[in-house]
Amino acid sequence: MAATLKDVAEHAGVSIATVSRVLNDPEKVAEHSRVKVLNAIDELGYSSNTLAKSLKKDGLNAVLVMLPSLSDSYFAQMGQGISDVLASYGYLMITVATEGESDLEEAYLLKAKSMGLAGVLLYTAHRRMPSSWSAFCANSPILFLSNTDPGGVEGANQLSIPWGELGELVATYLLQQSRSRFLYLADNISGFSPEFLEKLSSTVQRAGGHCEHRWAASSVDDAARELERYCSQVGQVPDAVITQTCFQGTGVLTALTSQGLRIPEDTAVLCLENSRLAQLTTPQLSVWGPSGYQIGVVGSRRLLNLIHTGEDDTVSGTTDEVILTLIARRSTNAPQ
Amino acid sequence: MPHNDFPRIVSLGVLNLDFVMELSDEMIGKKKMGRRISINAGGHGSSQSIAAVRCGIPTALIGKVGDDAFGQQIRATLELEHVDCRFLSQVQGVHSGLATIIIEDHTDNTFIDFLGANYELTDQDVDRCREAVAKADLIMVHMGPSIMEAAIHLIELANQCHTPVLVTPSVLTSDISLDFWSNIDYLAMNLAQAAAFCGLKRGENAKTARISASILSGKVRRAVVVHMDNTGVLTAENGVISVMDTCTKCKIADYSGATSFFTGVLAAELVKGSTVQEAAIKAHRAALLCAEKVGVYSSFPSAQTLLSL
Repeated sequence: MAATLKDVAEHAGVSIATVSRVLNDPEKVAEHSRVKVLNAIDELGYSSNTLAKSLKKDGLNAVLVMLPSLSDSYFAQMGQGISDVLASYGYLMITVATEGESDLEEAYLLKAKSMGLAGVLLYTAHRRMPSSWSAFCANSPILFLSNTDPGGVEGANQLSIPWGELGELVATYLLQQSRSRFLYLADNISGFSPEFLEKLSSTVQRAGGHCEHRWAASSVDDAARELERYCSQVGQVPDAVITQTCFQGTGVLTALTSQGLRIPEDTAVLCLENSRLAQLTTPQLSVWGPSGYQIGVVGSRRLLNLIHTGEDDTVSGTTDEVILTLIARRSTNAPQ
Repeated sequence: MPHNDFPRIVSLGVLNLDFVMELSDEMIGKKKMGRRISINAGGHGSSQSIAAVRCGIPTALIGKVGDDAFGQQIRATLELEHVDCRFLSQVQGVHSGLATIIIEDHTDNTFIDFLGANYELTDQDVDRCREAVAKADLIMVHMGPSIMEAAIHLIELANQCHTPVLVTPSVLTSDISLDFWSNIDYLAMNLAQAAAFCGLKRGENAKTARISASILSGKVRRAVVVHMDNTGVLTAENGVISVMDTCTKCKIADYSGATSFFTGVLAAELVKGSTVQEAAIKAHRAALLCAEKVGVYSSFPSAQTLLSL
């Protein structure tokens, strides 16, 4: 017989009300109780409602996909890649936009767990997985598409992208164009990488250059505004601007051209996102970074493999990885 | 074609005699009655070469036939089509490849392949073409199961000579390591091959085409092109995917020959200096014309039709 709320409470040694709170208002429950309840849910195979129970019994193959946004081009592409893979391998996709908010992420993780979903794909602003999340990975794997360290927790994995290496490559490429005043614009959600910044900075500084980082949201306006503010603060225009997304790159182009600057003669602009948007601007943007679509494809294939670990029918091509290639267009000089 | 001229494309793929029989509904006793037969050179090697030549690009094929009447027929068709046969050789005591295609109303077509002399193709046969490979504009390879080793050897040789390579995988190629694809410039596939690459036996649709193209486009040097029948043609360069020519439609009668003809036209257009997108659109239209008609050789559009696409 299926486990009830009472069974979970007894197993965890807490009251029924506590179990109910864990399912509905997890933030109101102390962490140690919450973990006990979540473990009991796992061990007993409890499902929170009859629909979820029936689906689970019939083998619902569904994956929860949590992305910060569904309209930002980077994440829209990522969603498309995930959808293509999940649909092709017979999985349903449950998608949520989290705005990068930790509370929402945790609430949805909990729902995923109580529904007995097969796995979770998550893009979060967290650089390290919160310890309270470990209990969520016991039965269904979590794969981080973001630059998030799963902290060695079993069942939690990360799609790693060699951001540090890219930082060094980008610095070297732009230094070869005699650039010396670098600015890196990124927001904290869509892929800002401390490793990238560190390697970019250290490589630029070793060559006698200067490198700074400023926060800007992934939008045309915010990037333009931030660049203008930076220029007026330091009284100088950078000769190399690196942006995380193509929206930001477009904003930077707008701000620079409105000041009468020439691109790439006065300032080179490079985006760390490989998106179609890069071809819509004048001049077209050079890019060196992952495409959202490919992250979605590679990440979801990786997750399906984790779901099927130990089974024969694994998805082929587990070794596929995200490819980073420089596509030099008109916003930087051609590579030597 | 005078042999002191070098071909602009060197082509490798299986060579068969295609024996296409259309059955009628009529039966006499237990015998099914044929309505029509056509017997012509076929196999990917032959079809892709004929397509390239019909697009006006001098093309030589590498291949082996047996010492039988089928071998003579294969050679005769290729010569009639002005395919350069200097690297086509005959093996004694072996039968030529024979593909039997039985077309019946109301049921799937039956394909029976006997690959015969194709298995005799060796690395040494490929090495003999070194000079032509070095001087060609493009090497066009179909990685059929019987010629896999020779195909890999030809790709290595082309890389040594810095000649670009266009490959069509077979459904078995999905077992090849991903890193292998960094040795080639262009990868042309149909929907079945793209799905097979994802490890799927079904699911031949635009989704699996995008998945495969996205993963492979980061590996190949230039572009991945997927012929998606009535849903258009997809190109992927540097991870950026475009789908084009979605409005060209046809009533698909028979897929046989369409993929190899697609590859041949794509190769020829690339050699002419077209962009990948332009070449892909033309190849897609040509392939749809093939698919519209039953048969292989008999369904190929003429040189004149190809000019008008």
